[in-house]
Amino acid sequence: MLTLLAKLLKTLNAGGSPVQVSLGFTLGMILGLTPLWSLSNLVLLFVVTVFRINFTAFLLAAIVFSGVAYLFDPLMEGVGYALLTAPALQELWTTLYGSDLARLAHFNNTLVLGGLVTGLLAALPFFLVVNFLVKKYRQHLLAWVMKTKLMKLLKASKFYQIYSKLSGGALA
Amino acid sequence: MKKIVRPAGLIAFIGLIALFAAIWFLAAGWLIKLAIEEGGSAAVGARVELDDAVLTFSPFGVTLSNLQVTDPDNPMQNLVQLGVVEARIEPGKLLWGQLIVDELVAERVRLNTLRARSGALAEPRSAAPEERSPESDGQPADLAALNKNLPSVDEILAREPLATLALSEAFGQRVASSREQIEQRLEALPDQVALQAYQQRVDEITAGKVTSLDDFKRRKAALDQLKKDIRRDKEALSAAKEVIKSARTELGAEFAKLKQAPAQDLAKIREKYSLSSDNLANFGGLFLGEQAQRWIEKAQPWLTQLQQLSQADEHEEPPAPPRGEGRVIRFPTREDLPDLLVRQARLGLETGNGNIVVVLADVTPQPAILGRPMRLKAVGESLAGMEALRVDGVFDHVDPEQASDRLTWAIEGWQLQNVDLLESKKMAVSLARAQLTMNGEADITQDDLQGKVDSRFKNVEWQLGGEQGAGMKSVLAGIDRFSAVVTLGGTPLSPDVRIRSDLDEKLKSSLSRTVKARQAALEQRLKTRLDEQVTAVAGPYRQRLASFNQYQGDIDQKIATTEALLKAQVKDAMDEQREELKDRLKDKLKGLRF
Repeated sequence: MLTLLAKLLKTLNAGGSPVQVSLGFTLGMILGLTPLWSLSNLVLLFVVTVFRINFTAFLLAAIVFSGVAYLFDPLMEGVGYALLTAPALQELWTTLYGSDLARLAHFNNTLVLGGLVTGLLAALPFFLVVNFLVKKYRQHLLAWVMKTKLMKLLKASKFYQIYSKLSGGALA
Repeated sequence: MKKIVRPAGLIAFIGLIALFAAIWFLAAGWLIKLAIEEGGSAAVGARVELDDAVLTFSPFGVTLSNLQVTDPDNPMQNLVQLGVVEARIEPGKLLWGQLIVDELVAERVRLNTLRARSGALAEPRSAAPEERSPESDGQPADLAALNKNLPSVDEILAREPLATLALSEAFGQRVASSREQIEQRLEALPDQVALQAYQQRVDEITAGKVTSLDDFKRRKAALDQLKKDIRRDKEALSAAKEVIKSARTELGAEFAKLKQAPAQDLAKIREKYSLSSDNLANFGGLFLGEQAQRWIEKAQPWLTQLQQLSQADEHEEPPAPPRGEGRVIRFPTREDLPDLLVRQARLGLETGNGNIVVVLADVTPQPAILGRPMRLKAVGESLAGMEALRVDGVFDHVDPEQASDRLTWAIEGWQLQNVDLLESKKMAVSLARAQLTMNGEADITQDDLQGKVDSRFKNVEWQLGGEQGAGMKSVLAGIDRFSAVVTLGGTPLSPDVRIRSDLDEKLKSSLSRTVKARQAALEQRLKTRLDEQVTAVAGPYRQRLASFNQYQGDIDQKIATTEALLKAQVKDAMDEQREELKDRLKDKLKGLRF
């Protein structure tokens, strides 16, 4: 089971460049901010698995930003409600409401739309910041982190050993 | 391209989706069960339990086994228990977040079944309904009056100041005193011996010839004395006669009064102890009110549930959603459907007396979106103890501002058994048997209830209990059919129930007959006693009257004797003496002339 999971992660973590990691974080952030069971998240999952984007970063960001979304839930719900009730956008929404695909995406749910719009608006700045931080991390902090007790404990785990063997020893 | 795309990732994606689908399929039943139990318990306020939920794919739907909904007011009883529920669901709409049930069939639906364990949640939803005070027996004052027992003849004679009794006693005394008074008088009157003595005295005075003037004078003085004595006795006799005459007149007048006294007494008693049935107002309400209230209380939660089925989402502005759940904003479209819709539900309701098929159409908490009202139709099938049952309902909340619910029902030949109508310590009235035919309609518009129920009871057999129940038995025995019209007003939660029934008139009529018969019997007994009382004094009076007549006859005879003595004997004797003296004087004068 652990081998199977490690193989899956190896497949998904084929890209380890700062951009691929940053994209993983960014898409994970968007997924975390929107309700889990939505069409947009299925699309994000498809993109992350099919394109060379770091899946570990994606999962990590999704978990972290689910917590953030819970904290800012009323704010994002308000954004969605404001957009869906904005008179100027009624024609657009009415057209989309007649579309099966849009209905499938639950665009008329205030939290889905609010979370998605918030995530999309935050995506570019977030990507740039994370990309910068990943680069700096690899230059200055990676060597120190690898020597920490927590990392040694992690490396000693059976799962890491399997994953390391499959991926050629590198920590993606 | 390979630097951007990883072909193996597509397989991983498909694998992930398949894995998720497999897990969902395996856990679907459990998830549905969990959702129904948790969601249902929260909505009802008591435990909702389900034995099993199975997802089916052809046709797409779900099958539920043994769904039990606890009665929140009685946790050891189920409000409803559904044996099997099969729901055919539109899968496409499910992906849109809409649960559209094309058809729902529930079999073995039973109401108020007992539970093996308590279905109460940790925190009770509401306090138990207030118990009725055992002291309030709900019996109005006029019922107590109705049951007031008529007193017995002895009680009336003992407690009532009857004129017959007083007059008869006074009359008896008056007769006795008159008798005494007359007898005293009679004793003082001259008897036959005394009258004969007068004759002897006349004879003695007139015996022999008048010898001289002095002899004449002596004889005349004796005769004057005799006349005086006779006159004195005659006056005494006349006075006694007057006393007897006066006593007879007075006693006769009093006896006439006494003879009228029983009739006057009976009239007074009739007025005082009369059991008039005029004050028996609204006995139909009294007898039927409690049962009507019980039926309304039974129907009320179900009516409320039906109303709630079609009015849950009547807020114009949706409320702020809980965290993690957004609001769904709807936009105008040609064929929109609500989030939850049961197009048709067919429930096979099992009762102890047979099955009732209940069909509900267009059940949704968003009728405004659907644009059609919820409809209800219930038909009884081969019910034991009921010839026919039909219920039709329309719950129209399409326009929340003009929401209206209408319910009509018809029950024919409902065999009622042991239905308690009135329960109190003093009196318990129940229908041992009756056949009921009922037609009803109720309209609820904006929390305003208007309704009318026509009920016709026939082949009625009454059962009575309580301290005063026996008294009512004969009254109700003659009533084997009656009708009642229940008018509903107020609000659905606080209905104003008014009952009009011909039971009032029938009770009055029956009671009137019973009371009249009882009064007539009492009056007859009382009249006999009073007549006996009058007879008791009338007998001696008549005897006395006869003796008074005899006395009077004797006195009349004696007066005649005295009068005869005075007029004939004494006067003639004096005349003879005078003539004799004249002759003697003439003879003497003749001798002197020669």
